[in-house]
Amino acid sequence: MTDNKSGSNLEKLLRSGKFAVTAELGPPRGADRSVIEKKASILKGYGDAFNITDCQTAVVRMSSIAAGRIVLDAGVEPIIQMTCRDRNRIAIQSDLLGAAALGAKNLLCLTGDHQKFGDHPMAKGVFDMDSINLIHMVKTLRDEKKFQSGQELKASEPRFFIGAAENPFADPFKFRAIRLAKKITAGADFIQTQIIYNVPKFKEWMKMVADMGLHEKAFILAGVAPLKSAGMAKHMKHNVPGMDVPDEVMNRMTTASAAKKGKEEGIKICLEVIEQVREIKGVAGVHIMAVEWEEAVPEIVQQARLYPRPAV
Amino acid sequence: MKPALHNFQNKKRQFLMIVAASKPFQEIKQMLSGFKKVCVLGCGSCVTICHTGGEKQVAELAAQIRLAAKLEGRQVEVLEDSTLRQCEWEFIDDIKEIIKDCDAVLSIACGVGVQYMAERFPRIRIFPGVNTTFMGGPTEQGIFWERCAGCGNCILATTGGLCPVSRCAKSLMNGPCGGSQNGKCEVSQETPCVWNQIYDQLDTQQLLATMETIVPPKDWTTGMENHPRKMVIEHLVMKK
Amino acid sequence: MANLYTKSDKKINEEAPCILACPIRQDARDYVQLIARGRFSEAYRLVRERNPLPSACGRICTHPCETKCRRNSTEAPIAIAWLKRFLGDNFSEETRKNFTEKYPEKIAIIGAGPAGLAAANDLALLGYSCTIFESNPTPGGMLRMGVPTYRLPRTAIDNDVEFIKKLGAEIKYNTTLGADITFDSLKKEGFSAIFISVGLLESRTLNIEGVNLEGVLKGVSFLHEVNTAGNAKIGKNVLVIGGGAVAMDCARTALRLKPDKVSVACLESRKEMPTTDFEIEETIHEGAILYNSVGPKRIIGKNGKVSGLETLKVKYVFDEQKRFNPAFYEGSESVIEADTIILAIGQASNLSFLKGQEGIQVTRGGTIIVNPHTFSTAVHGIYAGGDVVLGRGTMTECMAQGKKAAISIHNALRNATLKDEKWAEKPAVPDIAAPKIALIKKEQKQDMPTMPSDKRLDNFEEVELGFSLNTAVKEAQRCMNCGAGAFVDDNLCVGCLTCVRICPFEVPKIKKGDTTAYIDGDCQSCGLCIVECPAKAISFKTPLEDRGKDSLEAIFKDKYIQGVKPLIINFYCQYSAYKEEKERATDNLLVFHFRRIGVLGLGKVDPSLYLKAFELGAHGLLITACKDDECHFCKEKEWVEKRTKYTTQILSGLGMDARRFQIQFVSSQNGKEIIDIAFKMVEELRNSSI
Repeated sequence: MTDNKSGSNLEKLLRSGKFAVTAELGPPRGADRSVIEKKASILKGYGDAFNITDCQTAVVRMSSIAAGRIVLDAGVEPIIQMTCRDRNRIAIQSDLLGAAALGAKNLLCLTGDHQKFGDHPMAKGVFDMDSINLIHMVKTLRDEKKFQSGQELKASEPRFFIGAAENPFADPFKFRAIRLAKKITAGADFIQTQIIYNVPKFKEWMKMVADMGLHEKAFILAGVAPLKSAGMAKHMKHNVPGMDVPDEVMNRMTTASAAKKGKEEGIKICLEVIEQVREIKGVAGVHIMAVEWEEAVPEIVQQARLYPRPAV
Repeated sequence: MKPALHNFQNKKRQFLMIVAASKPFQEIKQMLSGFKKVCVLGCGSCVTICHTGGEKQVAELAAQIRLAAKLEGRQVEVLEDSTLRQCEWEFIDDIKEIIKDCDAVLSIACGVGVQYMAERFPRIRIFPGVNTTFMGGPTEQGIFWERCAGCGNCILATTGGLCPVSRCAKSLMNGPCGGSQNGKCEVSQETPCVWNQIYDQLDTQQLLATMETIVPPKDWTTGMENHPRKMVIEHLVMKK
Repeated sequence: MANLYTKSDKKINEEAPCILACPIRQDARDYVQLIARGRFSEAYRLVRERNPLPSACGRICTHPCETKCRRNSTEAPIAIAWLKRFLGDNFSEETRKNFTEKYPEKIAIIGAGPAGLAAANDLALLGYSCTIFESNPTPGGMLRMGVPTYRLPRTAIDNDVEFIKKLGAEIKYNTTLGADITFDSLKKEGFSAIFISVGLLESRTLNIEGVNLEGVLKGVSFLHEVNTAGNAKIGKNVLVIGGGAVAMDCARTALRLKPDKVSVACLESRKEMPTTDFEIEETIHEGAILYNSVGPKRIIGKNGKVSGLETLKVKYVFDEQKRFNPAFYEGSESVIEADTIILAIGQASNLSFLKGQEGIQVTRGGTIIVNPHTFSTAVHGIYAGGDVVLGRGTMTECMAQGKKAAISIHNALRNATLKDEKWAEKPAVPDIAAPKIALIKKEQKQDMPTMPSDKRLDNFEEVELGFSLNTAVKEAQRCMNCGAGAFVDDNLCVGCLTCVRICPFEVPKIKKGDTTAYIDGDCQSCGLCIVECPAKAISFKTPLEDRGKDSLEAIFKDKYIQGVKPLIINFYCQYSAYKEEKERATDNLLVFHFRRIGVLGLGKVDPSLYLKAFELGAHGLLITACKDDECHFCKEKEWVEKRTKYTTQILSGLGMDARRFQIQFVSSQNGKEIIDIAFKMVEELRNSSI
C-alpha cells in the first residue's frame, strides 16, 4: 500500500498513515456554480477530499464530474461518485476519460440508488453492470490500459484512486465482509462505509474484515452522520434501507428534540461515534455525511480534534 | 358452437407463462370509441391462466363495453370469442369468419397474439386489451411474480436456480446490495431480496464459495436490448 | 396408458345415492333442490313425473333414500319423504290435462293398489287407455285397507288417484276378478294385456292351539274394518302379534278404540323389527307395551274366548344362513293376558281367480311367478306385479313393478325397445371423504310437527302435521346436491388450478398424470369455482342451477316493468330467505320497485351478471348476502365482498353513481331489516338523476 496510483491528496494522506477525513458535497438541482463554490468554501480545510454525489437517491442534479471540476477550481479535492444506474459501460468509460482529463483523481464506484426512489421513477434503469464490475473496469483501465471489452487503451489512461462503498448493516450479515473482499479484489483502494450508529455491530464487522486482512489491502473510512432531530432519526431507522439506528440513539434524539436541542445532540452522538470508531483496528479515517447540512462538518471536525487537516 | 380448429378439443396444452394485466377500461373504451361492431377475442393459453385473457374475461369485458355504450346512449354490437392460442396462424385463421364484419377486434391475448392478429388481418383494426407484463407464474391464488427476463443467456446454474437478472431490482451479478435487509429488497418491502434467497440456497447446498467469485459484467448480446431476437431450429425448418 | 384411461373416468356420471336407493328412482335430490329454491310447483311436477302417488308416498314410504342420504355422515339425513308430502299437500296440481290416446290397445289392470295405479298412470302417459278393476268400492288397495287414517288421510289417496284418472285411466269399483270378470271376459272386451296387481288380501295365521277362539282377529281385516267403518269390536286388553309395520298400525289403531291396554309381542328383538324406528317409537309413545323376543306357543282361552297368549323366549330369529328360522328356549313359557289378539304376522295371497289359468305359475308361498325384467307371467299377455309377486313389498317397490310392467307391456305391444334411463345401472356418489366432513356445515334436521299424544287417541286424525313452508325450505336447503355439483369440461380446462386453490371444501384435484382438474362427488355446489374459472370450463351437472341468469332475463321480459323507476334488482342469498313466518310479506312490500333474484349462495353469481342487469335496464342493484357465520358454505362472504368490490370498481370506472350498486350483509332476507334497506335505496335512487 505504498505506491501512489493516482496522485490524489487523499491517497497520499492515507498512504502516509494519517487518519483521513472525507465529507459529502451534494451538487445542486440547477446550473448555478456558485452554490457549489459556496459549499466548497464552507468545507475547505475541514476534510481531505469531498464526495460529489451522482444524482443521489436518483434525483436529477448537476453532473458529479462537472461539479467536481468546479470544486477543484475552488481549491478543494473532489471524490467523483459514479453509478451504474444511468449509464451503460460505454457511457461510463467515456465519462471517466473526461473526468480524468478534467483533473479528477478520486472515484467512488457505486451501483446507484434505484430510480424508483427518485424524481423520475418512470425512467429506465440501466444497470448494465454492478459496482463490483465498475470497480474492476476502472482498475483495468488504470492498471492494464484496457477497456472493458478487452480492447487496448492506446492513449493515456485515466488514473483514479478507486473507492467503493459497503454497508456493514445489510443482510446477510456474514456476506458483508465477503462482499467487501470482492470489491477489494476487483480493485477498490479505499472504502467508505454506510453511516454508523450501531458501533458494536460495526466492530463485529470490522473484526471479520481485519481477520481477513482486508484492512491491509484497502483504506476503510467509517461513515458517520449527524442527526438533526428525532424525526430524522426515525426516518433513517424506518425508511432508509440498510440503516441500523439503535434504540438508545432513538431515545437520546427523542429527549433532545423535545428540549429543542436535536441538532446539538445529533452532533454529540456523531462525535461519540467518531471517538469510538477511531479506536477500532483497521479504521483509516471517517467519512462525514451531513446531507444538505454542510455547515455541521467544520464543527464536527473541530470538536473531534481532527482540525486542522495535515498537509502531505 | 365453435368451429373445429380454434376450439380446444383434445389439444394438449403446454404453456409458456406470459403474464399480462388488464388494461384500464378507460383506455380500452377510448381505443374502441366510434366502432359499431367489435369482437372481444380471448386466448386460451397463458393469459387464461393469469385470469386476464380467458373466456371469463372475454365475457366480462364484453359486458363492460356494452354497458359503457348503453350509459352513453351509443349502439355497439359486441361479439365474444376465443382461440386456443393467438400466436399460431392456423388457430387464428379459424377466427376469420367470425370477425370479418367487425370494425375492430379487442385482443386480450399477450402482445404476441395481438401482433399475429394484426399481421393476419391487416384490414381490421386490432387493439390490445391487456398489458403484457412479464414471464412468471402464480405463487399463490391471484398473485403472479416475474421469474424470467428472457436474457437469452441463462445463469441459473450458478445462482442456486434463482434468477438475479429478473428478480433483483438492479440485476446485480455479485450478491446483494446494501439495501438488502431482513430478506427484503430496498425497492419494495413486498419483494424478497433474491440475492438473500440465493445466499440461503447456496448455503443449503454448501456452495457458498460460489458467492466469493467475481462475476464479470453480463454479456447482453442475447438480451432484451438486442431485439428483435430470432430463434431457428434448423432441422425443423422446411424448404419453401 | 393410465393417463388416457383416467381421462375417461371423468365421464362417469355418479348418481345421488338417494335416487339409486329408490325403487322408482324418484328424483329425490332434484325435487329437494327445487324446494330449497322455493320452486315448489316445479318440484311437485318433478315428483309427479315419476311418482303416481306422491301424497301417500310422502307419508308412508319407508324412504330408503334417507337411509342412503350422504347427510348421514355429517349429522342426519334430509327428510326426503316429508318434503315430498309437503309438496303433495300444498302444491299438487294436474300435471297433464289432456290424455291423448295414441294407441288402440286397451289394458286391463286388476287392483287399484300402488302397483296397479302406477302401471295405469304410466300406461296412460304412454298413450294407452287403461281400465282398473277394483274389488273394493274405493281405490288405494292396501293403502286404504291397511294403512290407518292417522298415518294416511284418505284425501291424500283420493287426490293422487284423481290425477291418475284425469290422465285417462278408468277405475271400475266393486269388480272382482274371478267373480265379476274373468280373463276370458276381459279378452272378449278387447283388452290386449292384463296386469294383475291384486296384492295380498289375506292375513297369515298361526298354526297354534287356540287361533280359532273368539277374540282372535286378523290384522288386515281388523284394519280394513276400522279404516272403512271407523270402528271394530275389540275387548279391553288387546295384544297384537307381529313386529312389522302392519303390527304397529294394528296397535296404534287399537289404541284409538280406547281399550284399557294394548300390547305388541314379536319374535324379533327391538333392533331386528322389520319396520322403521319412527313407527316403533310412535307406537310406544302412544301407550302400547312392547314385548320383544317372544314367540307364540298357544292362545289360551276361557269359555271359547281368548284370555291370553302363552309365549316362549326366542333364542334366535334368523339362523346362520340368515334365513327366517326362529328357535326358542325350552321351558321359558309365560303368559301375556289379553281378551283380544290381533294377528299381524304377514299377509297371504288369495289366488282363487287363477282357476282355469294353470299356465300362470305360482310359488309355494302363493306368489305369482313373473319374468323379473318383463313382469310377464308364463301366459302371453298376462302380467303381474306388486305384492302378489313380491310377497311382501314396500309401496315404492310395488309402484316400481307397476311402472316397469307398463314399459314392458308397451314394448311387447309395439315391438319397441323403450327404456327408462333412470333405471340404468350407475355408480353411486361415494360417502363423503372423511377429511371433508369437518368442512361441511352441520345443519340440524327439521322436526316433523306432530299432534300432542294426549290428543291423538280420541280420534283417527293424522298425527304428523306436515312441514310448514319455512321448515320445508330450511330442511331442503340442507341437501348437498350429491352428484349434481360442479363438473369440469376437460376439453376446456386449462389446468390453471384456480378451482383447486379456491374450493372451500378442497374437492377439485388434478389427478396424477392428468392435465385437467376433476371435481368428485364431494362437491357442495357452492359454485365459487364456476365463477372464477378463467376458461369457463366448469358448470353444474344439472340445468337446475342457472346462477341467477334465467331469472334476470325473465324479469326483463315482464312488460310490467316498463315505467317502473327506480327499478332495482335484488340478488339475495336464498339460504337466509326462509327464516321467518311471514315469508311472503317482504316480497309483497317490495313488489313495485324491486325484482328479487334468489340464488342458493351468492358465490354462484358472476360479476358479469351484475353488469348485465344494468345493461338490461336496471336502475339499481342491491346485493343482500348472508353474514359470515351464517354462510351455508362457510366461506362465501369473503368472495361476495371481493366480487362486489370488483364490480363497484368497474361501475365507477364507467362513471356510474355509486348508489346504484349496493351490498348488504343481513341475517335474514325477509322482514324489517331488508325492507328498511330496500326503502332507503328506493329513496336514494328516486332523488338521484338516474
